Amino acid sequence: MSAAIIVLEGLEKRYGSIRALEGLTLELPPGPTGLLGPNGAGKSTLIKLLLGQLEPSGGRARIAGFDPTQRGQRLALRRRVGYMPESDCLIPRMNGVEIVTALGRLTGMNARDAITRAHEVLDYVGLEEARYRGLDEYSTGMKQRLKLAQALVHDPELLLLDEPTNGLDPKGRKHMLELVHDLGRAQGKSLLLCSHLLPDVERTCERVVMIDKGRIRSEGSIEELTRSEGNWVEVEVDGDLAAFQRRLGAEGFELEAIGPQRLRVLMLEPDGDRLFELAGSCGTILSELTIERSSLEDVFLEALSAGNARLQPGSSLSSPEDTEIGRSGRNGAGLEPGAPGEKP
Amino acid sequence: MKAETHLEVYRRFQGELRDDPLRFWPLTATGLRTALKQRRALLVLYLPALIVTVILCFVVYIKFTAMDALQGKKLDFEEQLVRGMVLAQAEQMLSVVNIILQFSKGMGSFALLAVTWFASGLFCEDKKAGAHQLYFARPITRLDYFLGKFLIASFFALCAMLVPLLAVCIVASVTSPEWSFLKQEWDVFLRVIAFSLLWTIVTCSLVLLASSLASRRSFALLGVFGFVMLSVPVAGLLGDFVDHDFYALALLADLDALAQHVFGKLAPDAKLAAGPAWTAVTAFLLFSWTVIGLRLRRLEVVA
Repeated sequence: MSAAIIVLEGLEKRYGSIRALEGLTLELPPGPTGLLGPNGAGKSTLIKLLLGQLEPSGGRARIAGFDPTQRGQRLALRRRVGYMPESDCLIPRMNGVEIVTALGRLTGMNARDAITRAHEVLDYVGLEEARYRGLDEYSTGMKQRLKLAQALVHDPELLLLDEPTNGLDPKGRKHMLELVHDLGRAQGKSLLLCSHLLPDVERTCERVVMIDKGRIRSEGSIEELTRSEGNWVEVEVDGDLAAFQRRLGAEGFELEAIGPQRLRVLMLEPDGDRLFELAGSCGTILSELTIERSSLEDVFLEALSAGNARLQPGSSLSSPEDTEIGRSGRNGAGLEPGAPGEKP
Repeated sequence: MKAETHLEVYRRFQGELRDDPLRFWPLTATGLRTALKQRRALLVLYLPALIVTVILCFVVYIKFTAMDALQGKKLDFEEQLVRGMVLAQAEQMLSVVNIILQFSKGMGSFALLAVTWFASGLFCEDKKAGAHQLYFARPITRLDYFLGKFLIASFFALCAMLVPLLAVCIVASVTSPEWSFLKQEWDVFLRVIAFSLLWTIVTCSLVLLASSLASRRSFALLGVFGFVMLSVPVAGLLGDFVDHDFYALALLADLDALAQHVFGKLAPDAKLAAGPAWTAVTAFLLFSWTVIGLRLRRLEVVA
């Protein structure tokens, strides 16, 4: 594993008596990472701390090897980080090229580089025809893409994307996710994607950090997290199904028939070789084998429940459905990859 | 329509990101470019200033050419006596320093109007639009941000103040016989620059203070004009009935007194002495910069 791009050591942030972040300790390797959490979980506070806009109340953070609390390092750090804020944040009376160029120059580019680069990134995000239009003529999707373009203008190694699909229609959302996916996977950018939409994270990120009430609830690669619960293996059997069932039963596996020739087998570790071996020993063949993964939503809801249980021992658990993610998940937006999950 | 051959590929930036000590300059350049798009406002606010400047330049030109003509004539004793009296009177009335002093007071109003119009939204519009979030994610400090905005405001103040005053000085130098104005009263140039800078710093600080406190540009505009309009009668009443030093509560009265002080024309029995005026202006600047600093700190954090 290459050196961590973000390191948090007991990072804390308090606003008076309110604890926004409580002792976050984390090491994130380079690559696309999702930061999942309901509203008020502390995601934005964490981003501000990473950018050095806030002073931590305790602990420390290092981003790309820089300490954001040190002035000199903070400025150097901001040259290597691109930030796409959640809210509308564009400069009045300017067009797309002017905004991106101006922000490129503020990052330290000379005038010629800045304007060339502005055109390149506007092309990349698909705003080539709208670059000279005033911002009041931009749709929400165009504004989001413009915000992504300004974050990319100086070609940062780390992108902090705060709810990039907020307010987008399905087409705009698809386009934005494609861009994020391309940046994270094909272009090899490290990115921290803050979102309350699970499918966005699932589609674009390799790792996920789940945060709620200022604490990390779960963290790891999406594959590991979803597999950890997904020990059900679905198989299709050619041959004597009953013999195979008996054989599995004798070996102590929990079984569930789900079709004429299909079974679900619960395994501690999803081991396909073992199943093929057992099938062969009773004269059957496995024509299909699928390891079922639990969805990221299940993992998240479980992490939230576990966190709540730890926080409030003895009291009734606050339902994960009460959280925005819980709601979006139950409503479908969190479950279906194509769901827009729009905010009004 | 997009060409089929077009590929939205991501390209790496091959250039260099410099750590420029003038980090605020791109902010200033961008702000100026944006502000200068308001052509109608520029015309309304600067055309009268331009007309007044041209008229005064002409007055200065007339003064020197007329005096030159009078001095050149051969006259008898009585005529010389009359000429001497006329010249002395004209010298007093048309003293370039006096003209500049009066002109600077008049242009100060234009400058205040222009700065208020163009700079009152510098902080609050950023805040309202959320643009500060983009700025404070860049390698700039709060001081850079302040300087960038301050220079935008200063540009409009100096265009309405320093440029016309220097134009009058230059015309006086060129039209005076044998560059006598430049040779004898060269210090007027320095006084003009000093007073213009003082006026600029004070008015820009006032407008940026209002902008940092207001949530909308219109509120900042109202705040500036309200403060200027209300402080004059309040300071006048307190100055008349309590103590003359209270005249210093009015920022315009302070600047008026300081103008006379800088140009060496402050009468010893003036209502407001230079000392209290300097004290009030210094206190105001410290106060406004402190408040702006705190507001910008909050702006960065709220980003």
